Amino acid sequence: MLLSRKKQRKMLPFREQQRKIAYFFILPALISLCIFFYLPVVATFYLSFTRYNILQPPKWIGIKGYTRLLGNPVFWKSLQNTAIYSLGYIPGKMALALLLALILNQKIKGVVVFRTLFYTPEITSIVAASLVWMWLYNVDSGIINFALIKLRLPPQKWLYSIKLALPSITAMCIWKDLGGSMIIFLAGLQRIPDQIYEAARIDGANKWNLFWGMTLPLLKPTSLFVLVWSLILSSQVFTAIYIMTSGGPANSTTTIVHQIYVNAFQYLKMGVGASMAVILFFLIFTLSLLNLKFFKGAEYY
Amino acid sequence: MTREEDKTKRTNKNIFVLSVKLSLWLLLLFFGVLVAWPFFWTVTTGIKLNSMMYVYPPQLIPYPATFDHYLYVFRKAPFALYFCNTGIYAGSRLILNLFLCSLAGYAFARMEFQGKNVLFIFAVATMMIPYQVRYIPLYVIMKRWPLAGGNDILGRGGMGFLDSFPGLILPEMAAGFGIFLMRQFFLTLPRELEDAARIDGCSEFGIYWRIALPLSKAALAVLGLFTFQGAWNDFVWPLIVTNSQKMYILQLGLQRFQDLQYYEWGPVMAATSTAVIPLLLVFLFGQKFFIRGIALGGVKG
Repeated sequence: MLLSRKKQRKMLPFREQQRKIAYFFILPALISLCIFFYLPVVATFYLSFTRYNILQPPKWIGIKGYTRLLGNPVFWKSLQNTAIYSLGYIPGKMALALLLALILNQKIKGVVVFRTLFYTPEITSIVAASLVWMWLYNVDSGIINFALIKLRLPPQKWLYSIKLALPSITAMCIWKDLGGSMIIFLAGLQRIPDQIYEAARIDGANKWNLFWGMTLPLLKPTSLFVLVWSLILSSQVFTAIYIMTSGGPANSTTTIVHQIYVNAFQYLKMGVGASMAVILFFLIFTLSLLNLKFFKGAEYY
Repeated sequence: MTREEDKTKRTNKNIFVLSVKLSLWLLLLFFGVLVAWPFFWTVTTGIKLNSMMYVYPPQLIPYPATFDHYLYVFRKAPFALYFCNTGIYAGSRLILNLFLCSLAGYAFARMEFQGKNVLFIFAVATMMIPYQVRYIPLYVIMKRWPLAGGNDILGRGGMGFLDSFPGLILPEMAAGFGIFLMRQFFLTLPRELEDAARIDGCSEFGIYWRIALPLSKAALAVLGLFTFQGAWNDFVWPLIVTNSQKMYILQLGLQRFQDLQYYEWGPVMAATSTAVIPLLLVFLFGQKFFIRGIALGGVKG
């Protein structure tokens, strides 16, 4: 009763209690994130400077952990393949997704059905998709080669061809992933208020002007987001390659994540895998930060 | 202009609009067929007679159809077991995520405590950590887990949590995405509800459990769907942490099945169909949650 107002407020029992309980609320999740997210990241950084095969304790080799990658031709090939894959995957996926989103944004019958249809490959597992497309690409009896024969075109070796294996996988991944980007583009398109179009039309713009001069520029934040997001995805491509080609033929399809897996879990060269993982981490972390910026921009309308 | 010319102009315009709409619809149909084709081909291959499997021209509709391939699949590999394992894995991951992330999300949204903002960023930043930079040490952590799988207190001697359910589930029992999503939702709940409950003598946990949580069914559904989908389709971590067939989850079992039954495309496609259908059903019924979730928060892989 003789306490000052300030002290009385400080000693509000439920605030004290709430503070302690709050820590209990967040503790399980935070502990889990520490042990299974942050701790492994730190450990990977450490392992990247070592030689480690899990049977013996890690042996520190310092900067050699990274310089050895420089002299590894397969490492460079995997980077090159990841880049080639990205150069095919990103424009292909974005163009298709944008096209479909633009069409679906018009008032046409059956939009919902088509929207669901185009999104369905996204929810199949990459394992299932890889197996299905392996059958489609089958050299002797796959439906794609059958179609080519029907069109009097030469059948291809697809996944067994050094030149075509990576594009084949790229096509499959575009098929699988375009639904997600399409939805994001649709959301971006629908965020553009109709009044803007009305105002432009009153000013005398025709359909073409509307598209190039208004829709596309207004989609820029969304497009940037999809672009960076696709880049994050494409730099991580692994399962499709593991299943469809195991990195072959002749290392023409191995990518950086595939090399991480092969080195760490097949050759048991965990130090090598860790170094590659760190390099990949910096790439993806930077891209994720970039995307945070673009995601905020996409909310502007 | 005369009224006659006006009328013709209007009809011409209508015809133009109609033909544009029709061509767009045909374009959609074209892409729709392309996207749907692999699904169609998977299902039909799964029920096609072996004698008709490799013929040219290919049999589009399998008649007579056979379920022999499905019988073969379940005879040659314990797919029922794979389903169970996947159910346990996905279900546990789902429940743990929903519980831990909603607890933390509620605390971050509605409770006051020291370091709240820093800790929130700490939790959500994990979304930018790609899995490749976690998996190598996670393997070691699971292997060296103290007092598990034959390990002593220092984690030596045994196999730890490798090849076991805890090994599968633990690393993914909480995710930054979930905490982010739940906090965003809880922020929208009116404060009066919890104030009223507090006056009625409800404990903090009681407010969370009896008031906030039941109101958050929509957010929980979105988080649940994404978590379940991620777990059902997960391949890389199970590939790394398990090695005995009895612990295979569906995707891994499917891939191994194809590896062994390499030329038996009928059974492989039958197996693929069974792997895809449950999630397909979940998706078709929970569609709106999926689409809403993506447009809301970007896509989580």
